[in-house]
Amino acid sequence: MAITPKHNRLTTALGAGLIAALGLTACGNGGETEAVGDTDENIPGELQEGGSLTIGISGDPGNLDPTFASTLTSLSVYNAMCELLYNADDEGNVYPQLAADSPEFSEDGQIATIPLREDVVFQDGTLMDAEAVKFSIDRHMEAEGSQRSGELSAVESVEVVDEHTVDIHLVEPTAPGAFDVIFTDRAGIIVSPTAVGEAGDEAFAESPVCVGPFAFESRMSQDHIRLTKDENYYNADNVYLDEVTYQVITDSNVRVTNLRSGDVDVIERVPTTDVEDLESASGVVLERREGLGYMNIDINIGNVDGNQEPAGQVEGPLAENPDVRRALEMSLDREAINQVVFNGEYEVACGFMAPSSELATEATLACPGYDPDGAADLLEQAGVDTPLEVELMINTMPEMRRMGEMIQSMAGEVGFEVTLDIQESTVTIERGYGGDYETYINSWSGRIDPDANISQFVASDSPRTMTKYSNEEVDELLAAARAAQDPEERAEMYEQINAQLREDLPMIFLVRPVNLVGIRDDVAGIELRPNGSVVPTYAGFVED
Amino acid sequence: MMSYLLRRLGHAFITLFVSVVVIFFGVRALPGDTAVALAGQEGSPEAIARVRERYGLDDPLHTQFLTYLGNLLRGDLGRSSNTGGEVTSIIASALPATVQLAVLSMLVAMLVGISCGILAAVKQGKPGEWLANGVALFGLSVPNFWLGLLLILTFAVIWPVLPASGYTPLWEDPVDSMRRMVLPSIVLGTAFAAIIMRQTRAAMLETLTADFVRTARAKGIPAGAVITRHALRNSLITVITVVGLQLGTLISGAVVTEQVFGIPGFGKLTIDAIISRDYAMVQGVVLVTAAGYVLINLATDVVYSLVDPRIRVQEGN
Amino acid sequence: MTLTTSAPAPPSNPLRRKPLRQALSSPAGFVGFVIAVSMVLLGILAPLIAPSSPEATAFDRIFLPPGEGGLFGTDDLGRDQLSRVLYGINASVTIGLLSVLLSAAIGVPMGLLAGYFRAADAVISRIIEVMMAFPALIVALGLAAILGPSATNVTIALAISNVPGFARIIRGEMFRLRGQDYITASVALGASHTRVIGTHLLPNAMSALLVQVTVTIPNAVLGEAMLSFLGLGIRPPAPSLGTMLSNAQPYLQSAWWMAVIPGLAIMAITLAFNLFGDALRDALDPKSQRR
Repeated sequence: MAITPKHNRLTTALGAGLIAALGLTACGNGGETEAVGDTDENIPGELQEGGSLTIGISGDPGNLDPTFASTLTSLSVYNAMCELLYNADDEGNVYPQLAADSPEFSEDGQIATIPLREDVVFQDGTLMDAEAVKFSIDRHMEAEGSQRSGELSAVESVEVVDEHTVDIHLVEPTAPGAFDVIFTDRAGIIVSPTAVGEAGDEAFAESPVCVGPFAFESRMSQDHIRLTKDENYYNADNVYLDEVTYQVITDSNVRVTNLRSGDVDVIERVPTTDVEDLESASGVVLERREGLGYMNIDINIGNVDGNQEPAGQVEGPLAENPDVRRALEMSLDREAINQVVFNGEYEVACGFMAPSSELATEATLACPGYDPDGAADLLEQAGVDTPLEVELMINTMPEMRRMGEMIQSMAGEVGFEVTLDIQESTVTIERGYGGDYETYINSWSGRIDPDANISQFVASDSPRTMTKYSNEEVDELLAAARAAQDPEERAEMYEQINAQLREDLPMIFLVRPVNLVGIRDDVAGIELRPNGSVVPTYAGFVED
Repeated sequence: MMSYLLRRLGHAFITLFVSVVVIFFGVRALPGDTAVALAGQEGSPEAIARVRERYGLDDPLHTQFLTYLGNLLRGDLGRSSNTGGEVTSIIASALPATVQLAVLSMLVAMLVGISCGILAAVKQGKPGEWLANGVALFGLSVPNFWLGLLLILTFAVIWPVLPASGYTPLWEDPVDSMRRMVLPSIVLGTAFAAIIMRQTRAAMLETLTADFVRTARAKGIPAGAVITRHALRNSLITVITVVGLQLGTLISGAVVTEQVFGIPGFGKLTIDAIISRDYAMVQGVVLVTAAGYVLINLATDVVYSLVDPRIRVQEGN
Repeated sequence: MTLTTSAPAPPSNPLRRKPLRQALSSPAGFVGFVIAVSMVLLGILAPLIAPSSPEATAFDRIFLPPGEGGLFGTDDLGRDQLSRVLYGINASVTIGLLSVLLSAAIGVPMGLLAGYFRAADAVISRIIEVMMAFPALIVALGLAAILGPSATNVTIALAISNVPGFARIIRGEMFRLRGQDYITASVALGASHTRVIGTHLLPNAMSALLVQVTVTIPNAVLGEAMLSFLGLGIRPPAPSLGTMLSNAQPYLQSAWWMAVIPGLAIMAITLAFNLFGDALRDALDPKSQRR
């Protein structure tokens, strides 16, 4: 069991098709096959009332206070415990959850009015109203140490209009798609002001209270979190399960073994190496959803003294000459990486745009071919002395290491001499922001709107860029695409952005993870989120 | 006697204090601090800065240290930056799993170790001794994480009779709890079996030649009874003392075993705390370990000095 | 003072025996010695006898079982496992031996000073005690994490974690020897401290030191495997037996040879040193003498 830092578990992202866990599993049981379009509707009589569902997650979710939560696995727990203002189904379609309807935008696009559901009470029985929404979002923005403040940087303030309506004042005009990203993540979780007041800011993490089908019951650090059905939940009548347990199992093999043995009922992030095994196993159904995120190589172009400092020019052919970067890209056989490291389960990725996005076009998805000869020629034309030494920083995750070793081998064929610098993920992140690296295999879990998948990594003034790439034209296009209201217009702008990024190559995109979820075949009604996490709200055990 | 006790207490106190200093600064010397770990793989510099602020990580080190010492003196180990829970209660909830694992693996170790030890001492130069020695050598030589992997492969995958991992508290479901402990106890017990086997063998050899055993033999008491009633009982005292002093080995072993089998005990807590740079938690677990070591040592020294005054004299050198 | 389990009571007069020869004359000691030497030789000769480079990937030859993919099969990147195991043995043995020498180089002077000068003992004993208060694995783990993963740093981390063992053994030896008549006599005759330590004390502590070295080597080898297994050791793609094991984990069911063979190689090394160490200890320790 390798110790895998929970924070750097590969986040896969996203999916397509609201589904079908229900349809497929019912089928596996010889029951009636139902094509389910909307999983909010369960089929009465097929699911048992009650039962305890165990979901295997890859790491301890850490702090469970929505304001301070920072792990990817906390998102899984919130699927059952804390609902958001808006949420996204597995195809990335946004729907109102605690909000009653989509936001209405003022003419200048700077105020979003959100109507709230009126029948909602927290798990402690108190009413969720506009004041509670303001309290929660203010706390997300202002609490010392909040992990949400960055996600809410587009929000100026929250105003209570009436008991069930709030106005969100935005810093600048924002496209609806870009707005959706903000409240479909943890920043959209509303907590009980009463409970926060009683527990105090710090201890609230020990038993968080929000709105959701299952309320916090108990926890054992690094082992499990137990939730029990909340009778106060506005849709409690349609909830079958009594209890949901999140079992922390860091080792992915053990997660798979426990699913096969029935010790757990559902697992997220099935390792690609176990796909064949699970597919042939009896009693288990495997769900696949194309992700929204990607894995890529960041190339340090201008990050000389840390990314808070002005961009400079990093020395060396790779940082100075886009053709050298292109040669590196051409030397890499993405399909081989996918086959060898990910068992062919992932997709190759050559740009930031997710194929499932409604803004995706042929141009943004296009891929240059694998061309080692061309790469060697290009390197020669660039007048570089070969072998050109390149240091590639990677974190300790096994698949990262295997990818690094493959890149080393493939790039080595055309004249790059790659050394691997393997560091713990905390170190890679610190050095990435600090500019203390040459190239780095990074990953991004993906969001439902393309703006959130590229702006923060390539915009000159972004606090998150590790490459410190800077191109005014790209900056302008990114800002315009974020504010534009017309999807076609946005799609076209992203084509231009993609073209320019392909020209300059600050990031070499490699693969797009596919979310793999394993479910026991006696469980039905599991929904998926675009980030590959599972929603047990309306799930249950199939009657014999 | 009193002055000896006081001096030992003083030493224990110094050791603990230095340990506290070493842990405090050691954990901060790890590359990548709490804030980076906490903000996660996709944490932005802004989120990282926010955490630094919340945990006072930007304060000068000596200020942080004094705050920590102050809290420590009040018995406050702080809160885990990772989960937000109190360090003391998290440690308390992790202990039962480790205690259960430790007790069971000790049983395994003593069962195997003592029987092999007796075998080796009694059957000198015969195949029995070879077998016993072989078992001990295996226990000392096998990498226990590898042994764990092989056991999981054999008994949970190829021939699935036992769970691969996980933990159920004893009071919730005793049967399931014990089933889950079988493989981990064997892994952790193996290394100890070797230590116990050697101690038993040495002690047995010594007592077997001692006068009272010879006398017993001469009186015609059957060999089996001599071994169990006289030789073994006298040897056991040494064995148990030695094992009691192996707390460090036990914790090291528990770290690996708990990690391989996903047991949420003290060892796993330690590793996870180090990896997530959870300063308060690392300080808490290592301090508890160090305190445990110092206390056991102190107790042993005191007991020994009561039994054998010469030790006091030598220590006084 | 604390009991030690790893060191024997030293012989009454070790110089009159020939412990090495005696250890080699026992079958177990001989076998251990032969295996240990062969492992060291295999490691040293790895560059000459390995069929291919341990880092050479072949993506069309991945997961070939032993036989089809060479003697030990190939791994997930099509690399030849035999070559990797040989280089891995090299790394294990090198780190094992070097770290133990380094431990001794630090621990022995500490023990000498503590055992010889009362003033130094007060300080050094506290240092040893503090170091002992942390489990060795945790010390090595923490140090390796602080220093960053590399072969050199693993060696240093393991060396430091094993220092207290050496310091304590030597300190104990000093205490034992200091009281003996001939030492008291030479001090009375005006011999300098260096002379007493160099000509009388140190040579007499050699046998205890030798045993400590042989018992620490397998522990250091296991420690290296563990740290590399946890990703804190040798940097891939350089082969290490521990790294190979962690690499094998996802394929436990489908490619057993990736997990079984490196594990056996580690065991061969530790077993050999333990066998030889035991024989040596028996040879030096009359109490456990059997024949």
